[in-house]
Amino acid sequence: MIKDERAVDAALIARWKGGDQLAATMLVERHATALARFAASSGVRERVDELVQDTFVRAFNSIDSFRADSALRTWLFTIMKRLILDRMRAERRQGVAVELEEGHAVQAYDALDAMVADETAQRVRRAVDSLSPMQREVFLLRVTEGMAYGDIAKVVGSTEGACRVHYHNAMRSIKEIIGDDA
Amino acid sequence: MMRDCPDGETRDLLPLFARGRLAPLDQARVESHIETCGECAAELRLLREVARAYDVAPVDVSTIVAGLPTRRPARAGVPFHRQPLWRVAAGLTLMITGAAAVLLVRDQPALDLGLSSIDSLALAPTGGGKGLVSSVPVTGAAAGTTAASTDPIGGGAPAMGFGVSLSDLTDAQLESLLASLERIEGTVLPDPETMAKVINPSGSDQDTGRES
Repeated sequence: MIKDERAVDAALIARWKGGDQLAATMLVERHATALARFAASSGVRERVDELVQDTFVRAFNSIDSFRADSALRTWLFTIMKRLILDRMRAERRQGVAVELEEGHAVQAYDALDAMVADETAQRVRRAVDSLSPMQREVFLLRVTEGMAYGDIAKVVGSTEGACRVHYHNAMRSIKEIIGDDA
Repeated sequence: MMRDCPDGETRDLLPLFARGRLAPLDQARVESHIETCGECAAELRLLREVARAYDVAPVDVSTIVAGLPTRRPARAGVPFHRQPLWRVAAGLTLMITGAAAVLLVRDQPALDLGLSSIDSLALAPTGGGKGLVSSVPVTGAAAGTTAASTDPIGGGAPAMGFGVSLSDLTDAQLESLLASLERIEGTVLPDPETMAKVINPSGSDQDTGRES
């Protein structure tokens, strides 16, 4: 199934290279929501659409450097991650209070709570946000995107085995927190 | 606290199952496992809650697409002489020209010696030592007369190809050849700068006066 998705992405990229702008639309439709989700799970609260667009612009401008040995979505995530870090650094320079650490913990729940529909979701988010940055990133990529450990490793800059361990440690922690809350 | 299913392999696939990213066979296997495993069923519910908690509103695709760069077809920007078809045509022309040249040389009658083999192409010494010219092999009785006509200076020295040994020559041809060689030895070289020594006809080496 994942191989099929890669084949579809590869075909769309080839069509876009051939001048078919509709293929670009289809690629954006396939990955934009996942990118927005990744941005949100990385702590981005504002101008998410702009960040998604910047990611696609950068990706399409350097599409010739994309190697099909990884999934297009994985590649897009790595681009977005760099953009998120750039944005955080810029905001920090401008005096905006943000944590610079990669995958920084989101502690401000007030604005978030307005977006989350019910109490269960809030509880889950608190549990996830209590994880270490690496655990959280690995866990959310696995759970919200259904990514393989190998692809997650490329995004977070780690190894497949380490990602597997991070995921299971994260799962255990969340079960403990949810169990204690219940 | 929630308990873990002992089937770690299946439990590891639950997030991918929840997102529908497994191959059909694995998807069916995990599904049948969940029907009989309370731990995995509970973990799957938790995973779906996490996914729902991090769900986002749909993104405005049209706005994103409007800001994307457009890509022209690759062929449009390539200069004519660098287009693949043109290169192939140029290569073919070169190959055909080369082949035709080889065939022409091969089909050329070897003067009047009646030879047409490619072996008849050879490098031969000439009487004046002015360089190397193509010649025809000397065979049979006709050699002495026809080969002489190819020699611009020696006037009578037979040319000899690589395919002919000395034993094939007649006595007259050998004499003519030796006489020609003697004339070569006595010829002043056109460019003394390149040679340290010349051999004079008397057979003794003579220094050119130049220090090496």
